[in-house]
Amino acid sequence: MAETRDAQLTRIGKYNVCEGIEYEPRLFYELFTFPVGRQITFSEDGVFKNGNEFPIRITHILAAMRPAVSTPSPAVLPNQGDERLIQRYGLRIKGHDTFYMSDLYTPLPLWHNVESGVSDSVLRGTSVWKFDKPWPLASRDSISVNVQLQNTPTANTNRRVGITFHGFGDKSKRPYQFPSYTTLSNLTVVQLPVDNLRNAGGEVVWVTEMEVFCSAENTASNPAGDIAQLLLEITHLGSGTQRPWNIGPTVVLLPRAPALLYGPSMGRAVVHRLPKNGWLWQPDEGVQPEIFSFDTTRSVEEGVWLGLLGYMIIT
Amino acid sequence: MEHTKNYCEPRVLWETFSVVPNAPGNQVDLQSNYDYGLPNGRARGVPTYWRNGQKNPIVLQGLLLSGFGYVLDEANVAASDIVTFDNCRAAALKVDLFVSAPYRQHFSWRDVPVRSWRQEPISEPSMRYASAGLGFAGIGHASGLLGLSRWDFDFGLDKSGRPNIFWLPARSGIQFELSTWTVPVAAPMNPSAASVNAAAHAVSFWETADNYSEFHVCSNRLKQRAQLLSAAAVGASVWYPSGPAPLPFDEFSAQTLAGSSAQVFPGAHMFTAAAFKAQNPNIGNTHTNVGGYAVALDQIAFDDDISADLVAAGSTGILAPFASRVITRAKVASAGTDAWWWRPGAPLSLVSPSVGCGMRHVFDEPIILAPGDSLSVEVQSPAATTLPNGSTINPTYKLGVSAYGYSQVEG
Repeated sequence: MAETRDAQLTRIGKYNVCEGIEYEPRLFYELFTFPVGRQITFSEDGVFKNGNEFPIRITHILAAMRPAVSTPSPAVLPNQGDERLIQRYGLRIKGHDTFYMSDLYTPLPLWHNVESGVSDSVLRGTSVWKFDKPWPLASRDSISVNVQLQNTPTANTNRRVGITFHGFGDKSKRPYQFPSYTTLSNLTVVQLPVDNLRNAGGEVVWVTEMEVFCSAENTASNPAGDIAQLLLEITHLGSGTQRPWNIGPTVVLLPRAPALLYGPSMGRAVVHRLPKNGWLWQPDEGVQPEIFSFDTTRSVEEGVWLGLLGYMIIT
Repeated sequence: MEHTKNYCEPRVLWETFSVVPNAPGNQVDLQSNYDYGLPNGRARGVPTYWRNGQKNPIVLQGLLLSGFGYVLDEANVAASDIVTFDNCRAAALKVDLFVSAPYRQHFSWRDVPVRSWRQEPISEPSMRYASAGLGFAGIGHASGLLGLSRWDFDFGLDKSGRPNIFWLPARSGIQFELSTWTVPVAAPMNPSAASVNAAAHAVSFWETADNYSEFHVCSNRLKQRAQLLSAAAVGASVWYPSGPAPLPFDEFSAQTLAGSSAQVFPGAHMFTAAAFKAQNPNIGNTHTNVGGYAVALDQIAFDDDISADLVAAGSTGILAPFASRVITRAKVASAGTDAWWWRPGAPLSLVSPSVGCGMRHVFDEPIILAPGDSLSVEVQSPAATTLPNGSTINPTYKLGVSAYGYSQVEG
């Protein structure tokens, strides 16, 4: 007897269900560079791939322009790193010899299907990620956050940068906040004070959200900030896998991910929420993104950040 | 055979109002002159524009409000009074709006100011605070970050719990068209041909997630990125063969409107039904659950060009998105009702309720228009303003109003 459509959908749907005893956020990311004249850039093999022993659920795709790495020339518009230039790049993602969403390169703005904007002045320097699955910060656990600026600030200035994790107590249900911040005046990698990112209490804290900010240079007349200038590396210490959340390329080493890509819930990146449960990557499973440049007038090298966000399912 | 889902098609009822200040002797509605002898400063929408003229019910889910045809979103331009005073999209906020379903439902017995219609957040990030860091002081004048307009078809369930879905039969297609745009030529704006020609567009339709594969194979159809032609690029005076233009322009757009060509929708801007069908991502299925569409309009070069002019003129104005200046039409071909989803010519901002530059008001309960039923829409213009120097200003306020939803074709 032929299988009914309902039974078929139920059977197939089960392939995309996976529950674990614990979840940890993950961000797969890469910088796609476009020197003058190049039209297509492929991801490094193995970056967007589950190299762990546990399944990973991908829920969001994010993309944004890399800010200018050289002094822009007002004579040539738009300048290098202008964030609007994301309109001139197209993306297609290949997996299992099929394409998402199309075999054609879909301009990145057309991927944006989430309302992620807030007040102009806040949005300029802030990213927010509300986790699909809250994760447990056990007693005496802490979170290691390394920060670095993308570009050196103007001489004798600095930027205040920071991160705050929000959650609630497992027993008490009271709210918890773990804020940590510092000032950066050069490209040195700095670990944010860990004592502010530690669960010193007696109960497990379920972390639901993180907010990261990068202020303007302290002498700037406009304090709105610029989140594109901040790079992050986050690791949960104590329990869990104790591996960095961000997984990036290895040929050209980029150990810290742009804070722009940590903003699926609020931020300035293009945000694509995958349908329904998203993609479930079993170990060794993954995709190969390709980015295409529609920009025929480009006179300097540009870079496009691409990130796939989700969580690891610890079974 | 009992249906497990209902066939629906998107629908939008819309009208654009061009009204002048409430002052004796002023003709109120410049576009239709359809004021029914109403009190001074008041204009009523054309009844046929707000009537369900089809044989199926139309379910209206909300309103979209948007100033249209303006070059600037927010004005502050050092030039003559007529140009500087209320000559921007924000000026539409000064108009009051009255909407009712006659004999059944009134939102209010009084006019409601446009800015007071409770709104949902649908705008993309602005460029307002992007400035010197990118080396170009004018970048904060740019219209926006992505140039995106989007409608996610979310038609909900009927009273029996069956989903209302726009499920397109195989071997049928969708035709979607965009118009040209007019180039402002009045001082202080002086765009170059290169920046005008760099404008671009792309259109995408996608399926909903009601499919089989975890990877959602090949689930959108794309009109690939191409130039967004200006009106001048397809011949002078192309908007309308005669009579008023479908979308009147502001004082910055001095292009003549009296022409003989009617090429409002150039072929290069059409996502043809044939191209839609040819991409056929779900070749094995009998239907496609169409999830919505998105339109990307790249106006970066134009924005930068005009921004430089604004900076030189000492202005703090912000450019309006092309979505409020480009008009559209769309329909299903070879299936469905074969009717236009909206009266052809709606500004893109009035048919983009999910992401766009309009103001979206969601009805707490949808309004169902039976065949022959209609809404009543009226606008009230603000009073004339006397400037400190004693001169009275008569700007034209251009407000677009649409009610979006779907036609319940089957089920």
